[in-house]
Amino acid sequence: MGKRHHIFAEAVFARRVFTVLAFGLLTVFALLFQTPRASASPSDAPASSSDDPFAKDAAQTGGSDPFEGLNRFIFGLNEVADLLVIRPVAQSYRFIVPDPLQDNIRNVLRNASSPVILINNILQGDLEATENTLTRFFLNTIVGLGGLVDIAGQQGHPYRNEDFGQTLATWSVGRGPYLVLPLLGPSNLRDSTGLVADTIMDPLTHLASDDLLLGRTVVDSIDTRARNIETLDTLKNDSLDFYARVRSVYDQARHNAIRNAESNDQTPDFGIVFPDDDDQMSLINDNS
Amino acid sequence: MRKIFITAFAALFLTSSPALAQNTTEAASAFLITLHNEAIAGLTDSTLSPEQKRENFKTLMTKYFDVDDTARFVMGRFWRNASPEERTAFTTIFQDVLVQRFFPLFEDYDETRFKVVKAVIRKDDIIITTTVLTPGGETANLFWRLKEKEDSFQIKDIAPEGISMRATYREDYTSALKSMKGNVSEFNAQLKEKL
Repeated sequence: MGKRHHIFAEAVFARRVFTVLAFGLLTVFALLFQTPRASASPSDAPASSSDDPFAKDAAQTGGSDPFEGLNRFIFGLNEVADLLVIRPVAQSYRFIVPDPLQDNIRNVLRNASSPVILINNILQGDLEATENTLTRFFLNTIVGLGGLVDIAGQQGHPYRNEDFGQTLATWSVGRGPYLVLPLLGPSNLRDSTGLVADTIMDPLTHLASDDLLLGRTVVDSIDTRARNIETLDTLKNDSLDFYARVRSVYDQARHNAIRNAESNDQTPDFGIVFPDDDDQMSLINDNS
Repeated sequence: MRKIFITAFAALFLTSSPALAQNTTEAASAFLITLHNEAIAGLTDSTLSPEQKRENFKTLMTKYFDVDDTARFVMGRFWRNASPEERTAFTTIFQDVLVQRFFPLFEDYDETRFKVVKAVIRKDDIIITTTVLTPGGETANLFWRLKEKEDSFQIKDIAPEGISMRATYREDYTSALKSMKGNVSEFNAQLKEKL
């Protein structure tokens, strides 16, 4: 795995860190409290955001961060955890495990998430993506040795993640407040809700043992972090307010992912991606 | 509803002057390819030292990138209260920030990795989609926002994988400035330490 272009730091960071760390915390919660799944996030009902007529707009242009104080606190804790534990472990992983094996591991993890992606493809009414996910799953499971090799990707069926947060967005549910979750990092009310739903709808949650689920989560997180060491360093390097930068990157990346789910178009929504000068983006919580 | 308006407007615009629109997007694409070729000439010559390459990159940037406009934008409302000296100082530092950030992209570059995919007109700007092959072997989308200036174009924003640099820096900097109570001198000093 070569050194990555610094210019893609934001993009790579947003895509990988969000999607792969996603299952982590819930499994940890489940084990810690021994009262799994359903209790993980009871307050995450999207009711308030769907009542808000401006919710969709807020979702599109970034949006509110009413819990900024708490979010910054958790963000700080996450950074400490990363510095002390996650990053060193990821560095060792990258040093010890050969590159091809790292790719195999990622392929297996991605293949195992196919059912969740498939359900979301269907819920979004996206036939093309449904077909893509099904093709990938069967091809990679049977020909690709249980998902070790991404044969489908080589055959023009690229991996594309979809989650329930995106599905909610395609159903016009607003973004809700920005949230930083312990260990999981950037999120918002809609995506946190989606995270719980995705975990519940994942067959593995119900079939696999807790040890296996925890193992998957840990390996997944380490693999992701290992692939992002330079990326995150770059992202942080010239930043004066890293929290605000990450929030912006997260919002933009999610917005693009949602647009992609809605229109099957890779092209970003330029009005948002390239904001106008007179567009007083409320991203900043500009009260004064 | 907004989408419908935009679509209707775009349709009107495109049908009324298809030739003009096509000329503009073609010219913009050509501009980007020229820039790309210049970058390759000035940055991939193995006889050049890294310092020389960096200087070349800075020259290219001054020529093709709208640094002044971007500097103003990323400071948000704090630009208004900044003194002319503070503005100039920030613009200079910001340019170095951009060089530090963007130079590595072009440093180990080769022609086969860059491809212009399409160009569209959005309001006064031209948005160009390019693909770049990363050293990891993956194809990544790189979007450029250009505006017409005199007989040529200037780059207003770059969005790797759709993440706008302009928007990202703005949120970072305005948030930092807010926590410094709008003290631009202190902000400039802290930013300089990041170089």
